[in-house]
Amino acid sequence: MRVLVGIGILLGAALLQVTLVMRITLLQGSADLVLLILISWMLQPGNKPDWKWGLPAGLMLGYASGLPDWVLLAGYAGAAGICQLLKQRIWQGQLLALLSATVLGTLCIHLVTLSFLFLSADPIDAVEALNVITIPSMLLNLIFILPVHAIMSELSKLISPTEQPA
Amino acid sequence: MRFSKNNPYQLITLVLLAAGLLLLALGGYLSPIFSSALRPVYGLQTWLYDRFQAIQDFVNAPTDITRLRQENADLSSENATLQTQIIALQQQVTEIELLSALLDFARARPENAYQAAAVIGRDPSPFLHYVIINRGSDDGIRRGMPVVAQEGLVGRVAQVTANAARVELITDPAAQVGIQLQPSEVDGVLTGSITGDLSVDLIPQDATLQAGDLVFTSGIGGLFPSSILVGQVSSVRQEAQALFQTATVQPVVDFTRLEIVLVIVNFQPVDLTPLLINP
Repeated sequence: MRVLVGIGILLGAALLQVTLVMRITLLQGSADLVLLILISWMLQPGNKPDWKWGLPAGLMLGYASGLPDWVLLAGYAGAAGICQLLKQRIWQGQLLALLSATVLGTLCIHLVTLSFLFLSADPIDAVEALNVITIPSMLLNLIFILPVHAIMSELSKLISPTEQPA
Repeated sequence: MRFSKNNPYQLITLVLLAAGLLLLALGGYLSPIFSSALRPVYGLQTWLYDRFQAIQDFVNAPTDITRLRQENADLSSENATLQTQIIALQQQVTEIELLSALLDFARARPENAYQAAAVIGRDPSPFLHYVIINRGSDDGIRRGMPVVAQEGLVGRVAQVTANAARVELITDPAAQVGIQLQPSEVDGVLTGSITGDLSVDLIPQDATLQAGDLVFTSGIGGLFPSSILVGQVSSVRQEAQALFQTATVQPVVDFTRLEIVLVIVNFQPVDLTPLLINP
């Protein structure tokens, strides 16, 4: 049940990302709603963290993106893997894990994308990319992660209220 | 004082007094006196009327409140409906203006056949500059077809599905467009960047350029038709040691507000890859 709901939520987030969220920009950066929902979903108390959650997320966005599918698959699987590690190691501090996962997940996806663009010989200035895309995107993600996490917590309670701690 | 029937002076005096008072009243000389005298009367009358009105309101209030609430609800509902209609009409006006501008563009170039499409999404990666349109191979869209807006060149179709297509904007870092600068008639290559800025490379050093020159497609390379407006030169950089000049270009199309585009469906892009000499 949770898996099906999770995939449905990721699909909705991918649609919102393509149609709406990409219009909200800071410099050239934009928030990554799919990543935020992925992180928030994996860090919910009732959910088992698993890097494989990154695969459907990467697949959905890969379909909509001009990047090859494997780039986003690798990026989101890496971000989900980081989230899995953080949940295992920072289990007491959920807020810390949430913010750390947001920063590291954004970096992971952007580094994979940049590496691909370098290898494909497109003229990319790495410092400029960091300044005008990665850092603004990270800032937007940090701003949006808290409301997204609050919504996902409520949703998680709705799905299985008995699994939540009192 | 007693009036005597036989004393005519008393009667005359009274008549004269009455006539005098009447004349004074008609002349307005007695108004301050009347006002002072009547002010307490008016005050009392106002007080009584207010109390009576309050009692009447209290008695009639329940029916009035019910009626007013119903009227308020009806007006609120009507207001909401009208607001919705205004928003819908404003959207229609904007859409008609856009379509009208696109029609003007299409009429100015009757040699081309166009397919209008709405922009329905953007690439989820901030490193790429692509948009998704709601027309695909079922509507005659093919890979490589040029895409324009009413202002000028937008990009070209990069990938097609049955009902949608992905358009690579000219601001994408991988995009390259053969251009010609006007009025100097110098050819160059326009490239995009991750910041969305456009620049022109491969301009000969002896060419005379200045800010404000217009940039049109040249048709060289076979990817775009010629003479489509791309933008305007905003600055020129010329270095003595460099082989070529470079210029930055301000695009005429506002890519952040792209809503409706035209795909040129009768243009066949030329693939020059087989002609390139491999090292």
